[in-house]
Amino acid sequence: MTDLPRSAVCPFDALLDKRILGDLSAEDRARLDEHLGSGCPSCSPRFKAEENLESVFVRAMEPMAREAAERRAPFLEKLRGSIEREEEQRRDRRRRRLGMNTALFLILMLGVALLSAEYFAYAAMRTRRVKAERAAADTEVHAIVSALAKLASERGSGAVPAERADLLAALAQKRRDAPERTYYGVDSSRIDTQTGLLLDPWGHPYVYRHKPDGVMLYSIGPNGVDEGGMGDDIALSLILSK
Amino acid sequence: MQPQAQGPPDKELVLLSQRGDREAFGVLCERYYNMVSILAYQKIRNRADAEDLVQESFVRAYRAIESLREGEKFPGWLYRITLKICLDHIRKRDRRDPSVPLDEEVHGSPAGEPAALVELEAREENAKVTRAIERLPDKYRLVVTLRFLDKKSYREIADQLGEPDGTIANRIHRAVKMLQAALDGAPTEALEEAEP
Repeated sequence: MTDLPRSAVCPFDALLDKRILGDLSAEDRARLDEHLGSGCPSCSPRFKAEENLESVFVRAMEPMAREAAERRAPFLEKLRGSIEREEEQRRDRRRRRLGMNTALFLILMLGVALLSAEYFAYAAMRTRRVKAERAAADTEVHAIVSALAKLASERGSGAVPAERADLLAALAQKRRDAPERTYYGVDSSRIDTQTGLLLDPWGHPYVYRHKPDGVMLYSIGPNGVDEGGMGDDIALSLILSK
Repeated sequence: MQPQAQGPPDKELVLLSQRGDREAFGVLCERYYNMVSILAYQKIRNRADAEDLVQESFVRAYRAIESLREGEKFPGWLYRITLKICLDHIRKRDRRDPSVPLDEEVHGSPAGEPAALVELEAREENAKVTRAIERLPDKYRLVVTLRFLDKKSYREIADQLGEPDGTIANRIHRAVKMLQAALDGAPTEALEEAEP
């Protein structure tokens, strides 16, 4: 190839560029042929070199292309078989994936069902426990208020304790109608060792208050908030005669 | 090589293949078999291996066709798959047995030149050209093969490979210069620099 400096090349060099890129129109081709026919010292050697290169390239590659063309039909036949096998494998993979997904879904659903059953069993047990605790607190409040009523009837309203701290001591007194028994027997394990107060089933001390017409005893209930005998508190009042 | 313009466009065939139409994929295989097999052979230099690799390339393309977003770029995409498979094969082959024999230049003499000397000269020239083509970097070998053997214009090649026209034009010019330099026995390294 003639490597002339760009500034020295013929204006038709651009057409040679187009030719090598396969971008030459019929009109340009005619112009270039006419120009080459004039024996341009810049374009003719380049054209010959490139044309020669193109032809030796094609000559070198053509047998390979011819051979590829000859092997084309058996190759494509074999390829068709491979594609069919690939398609079969793809279907298998899809089936396996579907099976796996179904199994995973079933396992997941089983897990959810087991967790739900566990949760509902726990919720039911908790409800039952709260009910039982409420019943125990209610029974105890009623029993203590009955004992206070008995105390007041035997010893007069003045014998009813003024403070919560004195409640247990008052209830531990012997009954007059049955001296071998106290007004109310308390399980010592349910008395707070620090404050000496009786605890309800949730571990809170019972509240004991004087009212204008008597006294009120209540547990602050499962929520642990003192609502003054309202809300979930379990309360009972005793009206005392003046 | 097969002219691409005959039959439905690649984009349509790719779309049909993505929907599981094996016939459409078969048309694509027929259309690009020559291109891929010549390029694989240029790279591998062993006919049996090259054919297996081309087979694998098409199967892999079929497996991955759903991931191809722009169907009109199928040939460039297929070429990249083939090239990767060929490079993997060469790497494995070199690791396993670097001295594996390559095919000799077996192609016949040019038609109409029966004399033994002419045939010998032609064989030598073919071997020289083949070696020069082999030494070309992959991207240059591809464009020059499509340009000269397939008679495609640079614009058609650019469309086929999904590359800008200017890049392909530049590659063709460089490939021609590299080939000429190689045939003249000059070093080609200077021409193999990065594209502008």
